[in-house]
Amino acid sequence: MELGLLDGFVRACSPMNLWYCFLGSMLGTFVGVLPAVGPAATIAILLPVTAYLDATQSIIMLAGIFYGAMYGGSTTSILMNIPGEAASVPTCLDGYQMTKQGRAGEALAIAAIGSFIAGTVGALFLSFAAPLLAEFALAFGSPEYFGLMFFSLTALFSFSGNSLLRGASAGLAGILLATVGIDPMSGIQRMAFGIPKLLSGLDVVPVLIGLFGVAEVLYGAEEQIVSVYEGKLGRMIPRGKELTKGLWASIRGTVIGIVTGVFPGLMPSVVTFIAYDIEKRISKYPEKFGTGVIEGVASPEAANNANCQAGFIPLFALGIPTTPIAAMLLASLMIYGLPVGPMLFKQHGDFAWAVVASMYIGNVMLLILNLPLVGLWARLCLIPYRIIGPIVLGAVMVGAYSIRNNMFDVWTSIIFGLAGYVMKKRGWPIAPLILGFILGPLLEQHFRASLQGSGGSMLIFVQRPICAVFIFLGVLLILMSRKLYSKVSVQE
Amino acid sequence: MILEIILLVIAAAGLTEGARLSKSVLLFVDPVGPGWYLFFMSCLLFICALALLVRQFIRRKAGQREVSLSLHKGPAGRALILLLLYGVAATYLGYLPASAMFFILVQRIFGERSWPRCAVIGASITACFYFVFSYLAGMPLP
Repeated sequence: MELGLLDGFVRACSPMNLWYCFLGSMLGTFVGVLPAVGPAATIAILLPVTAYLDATQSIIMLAGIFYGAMYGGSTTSILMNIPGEAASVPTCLDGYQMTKQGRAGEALAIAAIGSFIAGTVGALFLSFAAPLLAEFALAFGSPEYFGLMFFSLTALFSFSGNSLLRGASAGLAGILLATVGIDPMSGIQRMAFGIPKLLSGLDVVPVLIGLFGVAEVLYGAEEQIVSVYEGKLGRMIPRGKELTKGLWASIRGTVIGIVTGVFPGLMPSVVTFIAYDIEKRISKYPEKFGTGVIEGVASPEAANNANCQAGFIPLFALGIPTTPIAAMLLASLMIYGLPVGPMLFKQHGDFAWAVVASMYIGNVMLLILNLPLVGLWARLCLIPYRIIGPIVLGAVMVGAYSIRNNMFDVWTSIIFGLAGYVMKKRGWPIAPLILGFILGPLLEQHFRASLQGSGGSMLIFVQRPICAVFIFLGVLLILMSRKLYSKVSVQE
Repeated sequence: MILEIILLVIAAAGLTEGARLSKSVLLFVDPVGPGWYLFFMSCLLFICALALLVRQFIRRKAGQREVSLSLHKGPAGRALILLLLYGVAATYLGYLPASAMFFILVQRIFGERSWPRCAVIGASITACFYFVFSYLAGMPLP
């Protein structure tokens, strides 16, 4: 592991990799600050562009956008009471109160420091846990993978949204839409209904661009942001007891983020609420939460960064995405033909370690970008939506077209954009749809391969202990989803 | 209710295809074939979508209305129509004129009131896009 990580640092420190790490961190902070464009939309739009880059540079940049957005999301929450990301909503509660008391600098500093601690500890945990998990998963066969995917999908259905039925329906629709085209095992056409364009199936990138890029812009067009922070930031670093309290809260948030990060469905937007709630419960002065308590900023900010970093563990070790953004990174790995799952560390260790090492570097870059330049980021909200919106829509068109050089993908992204907009408006979760679309083919492949091995007997899924445990946990989650949801309120 | 109906349509398509393909079982190579999985997932989706539809009917009867989409009134609907027209124009007129028109008009939809400003910003974005995507990234444009 040590050698792999050292080698990864050498590769990550090459000028081009450093540049893409910086670019990703910068872009991530930028879209994290902007309330109307999120990291999901940005990654979706950039996927076709990054296809022209080397795999390592591309994933380093996309990962940088993901964790960079977690840093940037806190800025507008603290200064303007506008969450840049859904994950930053709890930060508004105490962060904005601190701003009103003239302590904006302290709030921004503890958010950045907490994010740095969480990001670095998360990367450290990823460095140790991912190779171990990958080593363990090498023994997995098709039934175990089927069980794991079944569990991941059911977890996502159960946690995303206030209705299991809606989550399951969206996920199942994603699974069915992924079957359009030629069946890879038999070569027979399915769900194409004789339409030649559908024979090659629906490409994942236009679907992602539509659901996240187009839908987000259409939705954002109705909620234009006009305010900007013009006040003073105050002292930039908290002192004495405030600093100690903030640091301890960051550590607690980090632990919560890491533990929940490896679990499918528990996205940063959920985990920050859990961290805030726990912090309030264990506090000696819970009644003061919401009035400008530093722990109320530090813990959720650390939790969302740690959660985001820990999400790379199942992604790299098992090929299981826990969030829609992780699913996009998985799609990107697939575009490059990299093996998803435990073989990634075995066969492409140089790539995997370079990406892991870049996360340590990216976190340092983000700390530097976020502390001294915070005023600049805050003023980014001056850019009117009437300029950002058209730019995103224009990029969507080019991105969708450039994948296979055909207009069919453009129409696909517009149709999925409309679907995503309607889903957002009606409060339907989008995450299960995209996870179903990406994991669906793998689920089917392992399901059918398992039955091939067993001669058609379904008993194989209960005879293999690891598979049986995953299926049992998945069924349990479905049965308990209503109870769990009441404790974990999910915002996508 | 539109989403529930779309889901029912997808489920019905899956059921039809699943039923058609379940006859083509390659017993030794692939015991369930390409149809069984499709049929099973479509059944599950059909049940879920039907349950959601029934729930919607009950809610409607109880006087609970869904959030109005009002696509025809707001900027979202107009932007969507413009995006569709942009796709058609890019196919027949080429990328540059279609993009210039799109960027000018979409700014109006998103709230810009001054036509000259729309024209300047629209032309600038088009030029930037052409330079970045075509020259720097070497990406094909419609």
